[in-house]
Amino acid sequence: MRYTLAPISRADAEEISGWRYDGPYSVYNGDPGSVNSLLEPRFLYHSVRDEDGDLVGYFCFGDDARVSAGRRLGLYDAKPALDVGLGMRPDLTGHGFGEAFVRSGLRFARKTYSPPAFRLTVATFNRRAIRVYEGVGFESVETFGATRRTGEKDWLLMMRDAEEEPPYIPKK
Amino acid sequence: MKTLEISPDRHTGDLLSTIGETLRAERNERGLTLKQVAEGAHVSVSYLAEIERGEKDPSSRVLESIAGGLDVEVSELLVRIASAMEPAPVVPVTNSLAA
Repeated sequence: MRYTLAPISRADAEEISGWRYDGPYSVYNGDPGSVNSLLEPRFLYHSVRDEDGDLVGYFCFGDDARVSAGRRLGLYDAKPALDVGLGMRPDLTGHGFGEAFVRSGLRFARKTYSPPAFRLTVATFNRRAIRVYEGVGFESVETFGATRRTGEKDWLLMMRDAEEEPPYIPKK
Repeated sequence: MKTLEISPDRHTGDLLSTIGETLRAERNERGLTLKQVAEGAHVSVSYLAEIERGEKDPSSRVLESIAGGLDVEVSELLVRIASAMEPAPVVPVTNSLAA
């Protein structure tokens, strides 16, 4: 599947703000009140469409892909990197589309922003997302934030080189 | 003659909308987006937005989390909410003790 990124439109932002996720992923539910921040030019929100032109997700690059706890700890100043945030349409999650989706966003960002590296911040409970990020070559840097009831910290910081494509390893 | 305009809301004390308005004001003051505060508070953007609109009643635990997301002490947040509800100036403690 080929995915295409383009700067977000108001119509897309409105649609995305209405997406609802199941179970623990409901923390990613949006709201019409956040449409304007999705349209904020400095957050670099982009819509992702599939070959049929259907809206399948979004990426943001830079500041809105960072979390306050990480800022406070100065984690984002340690190394120069482009922070990547993303979301897939709820009905498409959990079907193994994630790696191709993330790769398309990284490819776009590499061409558009020529970053020194890619970095992302993911909630530690979201193992499903972490597996996808590992699959496309991201490595864990550190966990940070408040300690959850499970004993682990809230957030995981991950990084990967901007240029190098990880070798393709067929799944068994 | 000019009449003094008194907002009835202020006096009936719609606690829920005052909590919501205060949270939104605090967030805007810090230049934070719904997403940024919601992530720090471990609540969804939709839930935080509903609380800000006074549509959902946050538990004390949720209020504590949101304070964390705003990076403000929950005690400070409660003082802000209280002063938004009661427009009369608070008598400084020292004065009341001296009286």
